[in-house]
Amino acid sequence: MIKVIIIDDEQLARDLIKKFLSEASSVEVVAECANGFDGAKAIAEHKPDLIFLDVQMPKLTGFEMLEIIDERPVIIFSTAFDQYALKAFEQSAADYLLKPYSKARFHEALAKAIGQIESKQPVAATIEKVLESKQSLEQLDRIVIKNGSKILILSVDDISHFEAQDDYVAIYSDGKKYLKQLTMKHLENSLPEDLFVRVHRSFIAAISQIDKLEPYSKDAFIAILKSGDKISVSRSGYNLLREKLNF
Amino acid sequence: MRHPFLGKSLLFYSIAWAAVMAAHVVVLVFQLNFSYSLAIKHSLVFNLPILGFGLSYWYVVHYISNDKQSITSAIFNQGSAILIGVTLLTFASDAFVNQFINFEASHKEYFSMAIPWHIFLGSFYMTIIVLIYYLLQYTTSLKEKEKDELQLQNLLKNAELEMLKSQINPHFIFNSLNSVSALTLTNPDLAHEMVIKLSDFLRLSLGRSNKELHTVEEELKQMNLYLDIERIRFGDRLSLSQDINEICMKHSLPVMILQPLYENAIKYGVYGQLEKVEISTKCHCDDGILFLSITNNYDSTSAPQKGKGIGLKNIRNRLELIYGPSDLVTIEKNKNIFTIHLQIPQITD
Repeated sequence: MIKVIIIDDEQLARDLIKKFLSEASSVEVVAECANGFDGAKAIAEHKPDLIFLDVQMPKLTGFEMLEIIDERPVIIFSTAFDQYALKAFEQSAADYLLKPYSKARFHEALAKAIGQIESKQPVAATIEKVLESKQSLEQLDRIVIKNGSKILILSVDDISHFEAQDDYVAIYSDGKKYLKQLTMKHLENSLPEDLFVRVHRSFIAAISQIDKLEPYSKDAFIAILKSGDKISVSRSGYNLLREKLNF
Repeated sequence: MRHPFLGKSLLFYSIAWAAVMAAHVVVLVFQLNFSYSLAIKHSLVFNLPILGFGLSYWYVVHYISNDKQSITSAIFNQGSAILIGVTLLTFASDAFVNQFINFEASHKEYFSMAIPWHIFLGSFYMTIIVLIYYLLQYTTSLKEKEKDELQLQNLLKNAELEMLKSQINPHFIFNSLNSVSALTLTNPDLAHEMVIKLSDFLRLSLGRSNKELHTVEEELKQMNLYLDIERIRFGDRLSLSQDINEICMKHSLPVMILQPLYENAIKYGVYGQLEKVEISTKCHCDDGILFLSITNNYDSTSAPQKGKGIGLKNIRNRLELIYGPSDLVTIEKNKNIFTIHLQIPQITD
């Protein structure tokens, strides 16, 4: 049996998927979730083979939910009208249903997904690709963090700086530190340009949070943030700051 | 632009000249002891050519000022043209007097002696005439410019209003259609009802026959269709209440002004939190102003989703374009209650 989880905030949309699934053999709906929080929990609990995932949902979007789960099931996305999402699906060749969709289209997507599951094709790459292209298309205005069993949504407005730490990035927001698997390169590209500057190989700082700049050596500076944190600024980072702040 | 002194204004021009000629006569009679008949002859011979010259000089002003020349060169050009023209005319009338008018010799001599004085006086009159021409031309072109500008502004305003009006979210349409497609299989009666509501709403929204304003009653009817559809979509996650003073039903407001507000309330209410959303609409009117407010609960700790404030900005722009003041929209934000207040002035005509 293929274990399926349906994640969509609208009851009617879930009903439709259930109805269509009831016509297929060898699938079993193990959970139905109305939002990304419940979805993430249910995925960890049931380890499904396949999920139907709506993009626009309360609090946590479908994409944000994917960022915080460790499992990599086969995913059939659905969206009604979201140009960025559509582009992301197309760029990464992920399968998706455009609402409203026909029964034939549904079963086509389902058959393809079942084929992938049965042949044990790796699907993690597709998911990473979807997330990557989605992130490259849209400016980042919030970051979802999994902190133990808690899920936090940080607004970029509250973040003072980022620090590279091996495979992770430490995010400093409101005096607290969070870790997330991310690359500095990606952050640099998707954070709002007018708010953040990559001041160093290992640091990205919020422009508004920089209190003072002090020379450190011939080619380096130290930025003192409003929070009191001190971060390194390279020569090129210093030049970037000069450019943005016109000093 | 046609000649300003042809047509009715020719009378004013003539009257002004009659006054000038009369003054000329008076000066000759009382200062220089001319006889009346002689003074009138003098006055006519000197003034009539200038009168004609002034009248025809319009065309010079008209065509020269069409080129873009600097003020100094315009003054220089016009000044020398006037001086040359008046000098020629003065000498011509002097020759005319010598040839055709049987003045006594002393008077012919007087006329010749007065040539410098005549040139000065004629140039003075011409300068005044030319200045009047320039003034008339300037005010006319100013008025035309203002008219053009006003037309342009109206055009822009209409285009902008059209754009601001047509903001039905495609997301809403496609999600509703998806709900309908689900209902056709599970609850055909409700599917039927929803299709009817959706088409009624779309008909009202798309075929607005370019109306800018309609009554509160019409607006609420349309909005209730929208909200009914959203209620079918979101089920018991959405709860609605209305408190409308019946007196306001005939008051006017811009078409579909409330739609983006409800859309925002649903977006922040339904998409920003997991709890049930309550949207309440209040409406009262007082002293020629319609007060509307829409309240929804929301989660203030929730990080903002995309597209914050676009709908709100559109409403501000629209109300400002229609009514003028920029402070007709106000926002009241408590810990978890969000209220938008609208003030709609009632236009009486």
